[in-house]
Amino acid sequence: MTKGGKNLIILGVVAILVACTTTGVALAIYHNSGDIYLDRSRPGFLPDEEEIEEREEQKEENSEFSEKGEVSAEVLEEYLEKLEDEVDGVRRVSEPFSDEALSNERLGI
Amino acid sequence: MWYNKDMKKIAVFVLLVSLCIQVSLPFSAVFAEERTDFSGVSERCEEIKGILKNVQREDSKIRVYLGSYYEKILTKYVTRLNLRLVENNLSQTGLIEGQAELATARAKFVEDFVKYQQGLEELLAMNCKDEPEKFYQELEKVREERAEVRKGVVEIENLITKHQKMVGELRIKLGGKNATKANEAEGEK
Repeated sequence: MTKGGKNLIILGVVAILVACTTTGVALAIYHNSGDIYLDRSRPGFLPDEEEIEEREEQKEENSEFSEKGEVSAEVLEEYLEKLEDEVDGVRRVSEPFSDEALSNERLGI
Repeated sequence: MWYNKDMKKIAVFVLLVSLCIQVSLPFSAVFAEERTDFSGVSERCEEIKGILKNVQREDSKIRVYLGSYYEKILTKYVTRLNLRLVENNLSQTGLIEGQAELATARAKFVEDFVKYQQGLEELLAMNCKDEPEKFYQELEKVREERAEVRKGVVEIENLITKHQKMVGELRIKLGGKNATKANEAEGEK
């Protein structure tokens, strides 16, 4: 084998090692920082089709509050009405993270 | 005489022992009832893990759902309102403080959720078949972490309600000022 051929092989091996190392470090950071638990693009955690449709519908419906303009009782009335729509969305989830999900009864212990 | 002294001692001893037994029996019954059946954990290990995985998935969906609403309420409503009030020289200290508290509460919610999910992940990685007691102890820890997430959610809801109340009061105040101005204008005419 020529010297050039050997160097090419060494270059290939080193490149693979560097790639594996950097990928490993990135995954470790991803896991340890907690981002993995906020990431819904991983298998088994992808949003359902219904969720995607609901989000797209919401984007069309909502007109948000602007930071520019006058402030009057009517403007604040409108603000409170729009805000109430968002708050209704939050309230649609009843008892989020309640004790019941991990109770002995639920787990059958 | 020795017969009476000895008999007295024996009688006192028997009385004390019987008292001790009577007092300890109910306690042992109570503890027996409260003791968790770890054999159940061991037998149903896979089933329990399956339920926990479903909880993990559902919680992830709820976190994203609520997180997006909290983000929207904070950035597209609360912050914008405060900016608009500042522009109109109507800034309210209470509303600005509320915005900061809401931002802090939201960040804490995310932090607590990550901690809870990390705990749940560690729990799922444990061997509940061979170490049910250890698994149960870890489960108790995860329950506490979940309770912290729940507290965060309640805190955020309370802050949003407080914000709505303060804006409502400002609206009434502005409505009153407008009515006074209108009356003054009519008086001048």
